[in-house]
Amino acid sequence: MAFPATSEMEHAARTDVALDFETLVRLYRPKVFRFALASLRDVDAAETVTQDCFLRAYQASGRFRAECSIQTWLMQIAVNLVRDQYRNRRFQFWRRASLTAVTPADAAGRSIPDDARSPEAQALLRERVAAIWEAAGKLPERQRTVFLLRFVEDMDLLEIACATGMKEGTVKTHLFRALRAVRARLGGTA
Amino acid sequence: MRHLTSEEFREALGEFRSAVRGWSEDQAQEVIALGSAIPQRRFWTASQQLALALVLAAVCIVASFVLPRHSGNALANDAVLLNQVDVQVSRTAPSSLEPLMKLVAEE
Repeated sequence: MAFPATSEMEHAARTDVALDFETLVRLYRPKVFRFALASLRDVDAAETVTQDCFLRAYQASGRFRAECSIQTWLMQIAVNLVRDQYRNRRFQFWRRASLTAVTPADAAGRSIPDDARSPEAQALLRERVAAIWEAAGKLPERQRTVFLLRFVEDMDLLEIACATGMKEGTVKTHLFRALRAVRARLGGTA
Repeated sequence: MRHLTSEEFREALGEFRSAVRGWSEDQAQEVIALGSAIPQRRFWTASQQLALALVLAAVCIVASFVLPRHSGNALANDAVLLNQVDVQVSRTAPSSLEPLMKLVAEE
């Protein structure tokens, strides 16, 4: 099965040669997994969503029309799967009891140490990262999705609009509200 | 309580991105490591192979005693049966001479 290469693909894929599905998985699996993990905060659920995402992509590959990049198309599938998973009441129940559920401390503790900063500055930054993590978890679903796609996945507004099926203006509104909520949370911790 | 400046907020968001990315990589590695750490199911373990070998040996030993005896009995039975058949079926003289044989026997 072959996919046309787009200008957004990583260096290895920047050729006119069509990509095979294996290459596609290798390139984008980390990104899809990261988004699912940051959204669902459960390793098992994120792994399941990632696998489902590529399975659906494989099944729907014949319908890919290159209206958006492959990355955006995959993220669109992932966004839908994450939304389905999040709305699943059974998932909500097991998430509370699951051993694989992630606490804010897990993500905040993974901050990269910087020698140029004083220990106090590092501790403060770590505290802020934890606060962002917590605030992002409390955001409404659409705001959280837009926030993560923008500030973790580095996608621009147009890509986010394509991945979420929203208009660009709607994306902007959700992003603004998300940032305001996160900043309010951070302001309280600073 | 002090509100963050835009620069501080941007820095915190950047650090958040790094933290989530790094943490996600760690989790992905753990998932892969967990997958490779699961022992592959071997069809026969060493102890199972030994047990099977012992059972086969025992079966062979028992068979070496039991099977010849059974075949010997069968042969003996066959011989007895054949003798009976011979006695009942075989004739010492042709059928046309049998009345004469009876006379000789009576004398």
